[in-house]
This record gives sequence, structure tokens and C-alpha cells, in this order.
Amino acid sequence: MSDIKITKGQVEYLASLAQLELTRQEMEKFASQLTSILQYVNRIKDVELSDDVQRNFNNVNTFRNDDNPHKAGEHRDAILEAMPETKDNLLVVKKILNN
Amino acid sequence: MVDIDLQDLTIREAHKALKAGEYSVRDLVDAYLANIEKDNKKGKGINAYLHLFTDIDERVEIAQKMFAEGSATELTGIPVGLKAIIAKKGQITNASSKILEHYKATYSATVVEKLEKQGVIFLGSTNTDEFAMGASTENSAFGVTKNPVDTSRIAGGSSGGSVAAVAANMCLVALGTDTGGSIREPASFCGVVGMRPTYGAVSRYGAMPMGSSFDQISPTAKTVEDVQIVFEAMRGTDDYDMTVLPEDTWQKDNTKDKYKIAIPRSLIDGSSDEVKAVFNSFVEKIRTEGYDVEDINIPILKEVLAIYYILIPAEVSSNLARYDGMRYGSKVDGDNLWDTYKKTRGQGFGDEVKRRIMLGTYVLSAGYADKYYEKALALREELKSELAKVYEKYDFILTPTAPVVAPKIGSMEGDPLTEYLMDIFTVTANTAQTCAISIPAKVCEGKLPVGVQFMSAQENDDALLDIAKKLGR
Repeated sequence: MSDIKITKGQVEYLASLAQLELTRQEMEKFASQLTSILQYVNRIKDVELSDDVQRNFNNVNTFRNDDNPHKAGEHRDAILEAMPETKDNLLVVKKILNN
Repeated sequence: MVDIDLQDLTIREAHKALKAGEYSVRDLVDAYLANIEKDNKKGKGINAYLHLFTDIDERVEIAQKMFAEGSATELTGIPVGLKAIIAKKGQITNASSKILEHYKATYSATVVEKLEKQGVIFLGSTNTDEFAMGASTENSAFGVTKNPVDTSRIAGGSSGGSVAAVAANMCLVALGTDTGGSIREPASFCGVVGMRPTYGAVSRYGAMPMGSSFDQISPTAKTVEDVQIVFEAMRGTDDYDMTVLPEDTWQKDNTKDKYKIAIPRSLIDGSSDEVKAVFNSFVEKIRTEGYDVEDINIPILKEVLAIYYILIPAEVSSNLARYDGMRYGSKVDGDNLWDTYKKTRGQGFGDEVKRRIMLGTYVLSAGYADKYYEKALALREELKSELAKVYEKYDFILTPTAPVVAPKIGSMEGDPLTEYLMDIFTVTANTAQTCAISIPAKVCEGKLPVGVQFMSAQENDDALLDIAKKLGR
């Protein structure tokens, strides 16, 4: 159980996958906290699964039916208003490619 | 101002008085607003509300008109608190997060629309752990909510603001959400009632998602009857939430004259002495009242917390990917798009949110997904099937709601696992997508409140409310 140890380097990697900028201090703190949480949840490795449980994970469509669309533009102003940065009714984003 | 006794007021009593003209909707709302003014930010500094809504006066007029026209329902004019996770159109709905600090909801949650149609007055947005992640409200970006019973202690969480508002007479009833115990645990700590309905009983549309297969909008009030009135008004199908169970599910009557109750004794042994003492005398009391109570062993229950804290971070890590500073919320500019994402999220999210996003990223990543996520999913099915067997023989599983009484503010700082362990009894209902309720045990006076939890099978919500009414207030 105690073989799990999350290093500062792993925290840095996880943070980059999750698009989070962390300070050095945060990385150290999270390394020890994530270690203790993972050591706890790792207890499930010792639990055996019985054979008679169906493992279909209830995969049904949980999205709204794709019908009855609202009137085009009905919500446009409200949505635009929530955007931090717009120009001529368009969302402004940063450039994606570096020069 | 008319003097209204808010301490013991119920929805039905308020409705009767409003209908008879003993006082007006304005008087009732003002009585609650006066308490908020006195003790929310000032006075005791309960910090149940983050802010009040700007349309209260308008809503009061609508409700008063409904009484004049004779179209008022039991809920018309009732002042309600709304967790900052649940959207109300045009009002700041910030999930107690810096990343949404000034965000105004562009639409109302289905439950908000349903209740406002009945003339409910939502007073304000109530405090929560950031994005409902926590059991203390200490993870709110805008300060902890204090327990009205003892202000040196936490109100619990994540729906701590909603529950404290009810306990401190800052609203008659309130809406929260319950993903792992978030309405029941604070209800236990503050001495009120909190019900988590069956998954799919109430539309989640407009509630910011944390763990989409666990979340459920949940009512809290001082009495079971009030909780039931709000629950009945909220439930039902919704075109915007396909996980809501069909109407005919709720036509059956699951109530009985005599119920059988199971206690998973070994799980309870780890609770504090104070909680065990109250719980045992509660069990003794209902036994002498003639209830059929039996100790049983359900081995998988001790694994649920681990299952929960694998699946929840996994769902969190994908659900919170939407907060990127582009389409809404706060944005921190960086050198390029990726840098902007990282800075926005790094500065906008608090510690607990970051921890869960990273844990979720870990348990879902290649090489670990089989060991953690897939295994936990399989165990979730196993839990459901084990519980189905228990519920064939017993109507309810009874436990304390939390293993401890409300901790002192700050006592869990930097120790997330200790906070997680407070969810030991509550996460089962969420993981199995079943229903549960916490009612005050009320066996000894003068001490800190201790709640007891009844859990039941999916769609057995009416039986759950029935026993809670018989044993609670």
C-alpha cells in the first residue's frame, strides 16, 4: 500500500496535462497530499470482484434528444455578454501557433 | 415591522398566515432579510449568503399578486436560499470560485424556474465549498460558513451556506446539492433536515456539474414535511436532463405500516464516542417504539469511500475542463493560448479543486485507468447489486450521518484525507444512486447536534420521507 509515492515531478506533469499553472510551493504540498489520498484509495486493489455482477456500466444516451432547436441567435447576446473578451460579436482568443 | 416567530415556522403555517392576511409576503421576506442583515456579514458573521439577489422586490410583488388573485400555492411567497452552484438567470452564480467570481447566469436552472412559477422568493446565493468540493465550506474562495449552533465550528459542506441559512432563520427552506453527502452532513452538524433524492428524481439542468453521475439537487429545512413539499415541487422529467426518471416511477406508493431497518454495525465502530453514544440511544429509542432493527454486515460498505474518491475526481477532471477563461468567467492573460489556460485555471481554482482535477487526471491516465478507474466502476456495480440484496429484506439502512460532530474551524487545514473521511456514511447513497435523508437524532439536549441517516433503495423516496416524518419533526 505504501509503495505509492507521487513526486514533485509527477505533480508537475499532471498539472501540465490538466492545464494548471502551479507554484513550486503548491507542487510540494500537492505531492504529499496526493500521495496520502492515493495510498488510501489504493485499498480497492485488494477487493475481489464477484463474477455474477454485470459490468455494462449503464451505457445509455444521457444527452438531450437532438431536436426542437431554438430560434437562431435567440441566446446570442446573453452568451456574448458572458465572454471576457469580444470584438465585433466574435470571441477573441490568443494565437494558437507560436511564431 | 410585523413580529413573526421564524424559529418554528413551517411552510404550511406561513402559507396559512399569508392566506389569512396575518402578515404579507413583504413582512415575511423582511423578517428573514433582517436576520441576514444582522448576522450574515456583521454580528455573528455566519457567512451563509455570498450575496442577495437583485430581484427580490419584483418577486415579492408577483407573489403578493398571486395571493390577491387566488392563484397562490403552498410555496408562494416562501423565502428560499439558493446554493451558489445553482443558476438563476441574470444573477451572480459563482460556485464560490474566483474563476466565476462575477459570472452572471445566462439561464435559470429547471428547479429555479419550477419554484419561481409557484411564487417562491429566492433571497440570495448561499456559500459552498468551491464547485461543491468539500465537506466544510472551508474550500470556498469567499470564506467559511460558521455553524449557527456554535460559531467556532464549521457548518459543514458543501451546502453549508444553505443549511446554515435555514438553521439561522435566514430563509425558511433552502436548496443545495448532494454529490457525496453535501446536504446531509451539514444538516447533521447544524441540527436540521437534509434529503438527497434518488439520482434522477430531480432535474440537474442548471446545477454546475461536479460528478455528473452522483450529483443531485437536494432540499434542506427544519422539518421533514417542508423538505417533502420542496422535493415534490422540484421533481419530474425535464427535456434538458435525460437522466431524470420517468413520471410513472413516482406513482407507486412504497410506504408501509411496518418497516425493517438494518444497521451496518462494524462500519459505525470507527465513529467518535460522542456520535456513537447518540446513535446508540437513538436506536434504543426506536426499538422500544416497536421498530424492527437488526445489525447486519455489508462488507463492501467500507470500500465505498475509496471507490467514490476515484470516480469523483475522474468526473471532476473532465467536468471542470470547461473553465478555460474563454467563453465566460475570469481570464488571466498569458503569452499564448495554452499559457492563458494555465494561468486562468492556476489562479482561478482553489487547492481542493486543483487536487481533484489532478487526482482525476492520474486515475484516468494510461497505465492507471485499469487499476483505479475501471476497477472502481466495476466495484460501483458490485455495490449496487449488494445493496439491492439488502433492500430485498430491509426497507432502510440506518447509520449516523457523519462519524463526528462539527469540527472546529481550521482544524482540518492541509489535511484533505481527514475531510474526505467525514463522508464515510454518506457517499454510499450517491455511489449507488439511491436516496437518503439526515434528521436530527435529538436524544440529548444541550450538546452539539448529531444527525442520523436513513438510506433506501432507488425510487423509495416516499417511504424514506414517511419514516423520517414518523421519527423526526
